[in-house]
Amino acid sequence: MNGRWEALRAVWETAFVLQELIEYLDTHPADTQALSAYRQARDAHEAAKDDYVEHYGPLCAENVPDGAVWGWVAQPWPWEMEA
Amino acid sequence: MWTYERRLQFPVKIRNTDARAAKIIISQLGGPDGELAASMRYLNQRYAMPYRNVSGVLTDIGTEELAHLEMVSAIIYQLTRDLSMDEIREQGFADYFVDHTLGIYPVSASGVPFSATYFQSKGDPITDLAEDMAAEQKARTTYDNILRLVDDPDILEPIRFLREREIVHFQRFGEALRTVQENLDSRNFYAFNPAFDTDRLEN
Repeated sequence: MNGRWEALRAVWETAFVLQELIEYLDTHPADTQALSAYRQARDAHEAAKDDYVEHYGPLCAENVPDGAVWGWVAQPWPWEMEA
Repeated sequence: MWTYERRLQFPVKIRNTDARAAKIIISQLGGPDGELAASMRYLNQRYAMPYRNVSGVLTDIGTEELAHLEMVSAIIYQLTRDLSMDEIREQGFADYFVDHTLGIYPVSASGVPFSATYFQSKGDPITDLAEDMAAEQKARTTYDNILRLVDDPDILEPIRFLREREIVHFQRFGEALRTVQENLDSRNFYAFNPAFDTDRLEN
């Protein structure tokens, strides 16, 4: 459970940086420093998501791992205490 | 279109139930300055916005507001899970319970159901962005008031996160408004509506 929480924390943190940069770039589209930060944040977020999905299950219904049963509905939803 | 990502934008894990707190916080779901109004406001305003970067701000912030809606709903859900009939009566939750049991329904703290009259889509960029900036401040004040009324750290953390987002979005909408004004006649911003009087646009 702790390993999963740590992996999820990495998804949260990298997603937050990315979200901030996306909204900032909308109003500062020519800021080269922000563009370079965006590229780094995007790669870090992709890596965090890949790590989570590989070990703990799907984040999107479009990349559910192969299995005998439909893995999308097997785990707690984000609002549940068990999530 | 949208794709669902199976995580909250920020963690919500509330160990102790509290129906009283839930009834206050639900205003940020279905109340006049809540997240449902915020997301619908920005996502509806996008289409008449004649500047692509401003439509980008409305799309990206409008999408983030949907994630805030989910966070507020998760807070309400966790605060009211497994309530006993005694707790429902003693914590002042009977009036909500009679109509919705423990289902999540968008109402204000005083019980008024959500209404589209909480927001505008006026089809005029200055008007819409001025409304958006005011909306962010109104939501920030509501979160400030929630922070005054609640003392459980499990609730305070996600509420503080949501409050911070209002401040950042106010900043982004201010920048968007400046973009709009830079495209208008600096001697008279109100000479024409760039979303409607397109024959008057010089560039």
